[in-house]
Amino acid sequence: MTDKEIIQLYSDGREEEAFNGIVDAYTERLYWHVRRFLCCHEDTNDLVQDIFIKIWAALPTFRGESQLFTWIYRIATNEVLNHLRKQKFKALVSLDSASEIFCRKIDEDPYFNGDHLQRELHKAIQRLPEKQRIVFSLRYFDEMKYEEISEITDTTVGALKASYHHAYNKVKDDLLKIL
Amino acid sequence: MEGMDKIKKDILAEITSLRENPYTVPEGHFNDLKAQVRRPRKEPVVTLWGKLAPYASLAAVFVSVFAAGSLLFNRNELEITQEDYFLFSENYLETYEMDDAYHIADAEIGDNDIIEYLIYTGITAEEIEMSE
Repeated sequence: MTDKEIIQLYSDGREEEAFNGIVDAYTERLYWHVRRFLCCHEDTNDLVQDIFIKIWAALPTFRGESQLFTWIYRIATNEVLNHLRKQKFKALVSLDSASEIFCRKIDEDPYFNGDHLQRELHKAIQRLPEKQRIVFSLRYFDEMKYEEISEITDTTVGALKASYHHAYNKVKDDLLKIL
Repeated sequence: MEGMDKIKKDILAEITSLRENPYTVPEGHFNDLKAQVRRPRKEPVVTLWGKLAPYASLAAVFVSVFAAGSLLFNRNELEITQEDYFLFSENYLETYEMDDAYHIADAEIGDNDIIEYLIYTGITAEEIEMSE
């Protein structure tokens, strides 16, 4: 089902069907979007379920001013940022930093199938500041346009380009150290 | 050698496999996940009391403030001795044992509540780290 069809269903008052359309079209995409930040399969599963609850609750506020896809990604990204902030607070009382905790999750993840370089790339991403991590992920892996990322993150295109440039160089330098 | 130099110049662009997804999921996972998020969602049923409760609470607060104000106003007109005050605090002020206070804190406010509150108020982990 396309975004247009989902919106049409919702406008016709068929909310449940529209929501099911969103679930079919977006579950997998949102899962991978979230997994790159949370690393762990179980945590990702829990957060994706929370995101769909938020989407269901927020559906009446969707006015069609933005694309459905950016609206959904915006909710998901905000939930990811909230989760990352919570992890940072939890890290304050532990001996490890939040990025060390996430790097350890990558090492311990039984569902990580990448090679050594991919592992190091995903660890380097965990060491980036939150917003750079979001921009880097959406641009490098999903190849999203800056205009779309701008809608999702509510940040100007200029600021996003600068963030991506910094993030790209940091990750690149981290990878070159292990070559 | 030249190839290595090229990779070193821009490893993220040269090694295309880096863009591939290294994470996997258990077989059939997405069907299970879709079924979980599709569970029927029922709107909470709002009872008549549910609708009236906020107004009733507000009215109760006004009545309490008015009653407390009248009581204090009337008492201030009399001469209050130290003994009166002692009796008043003994009879009217609720007191808790320290053990009760810890018990209440343990039962009702967890780490997650505190973290939610800090995020809600806009305080960041970095700010707390800097203040330590």
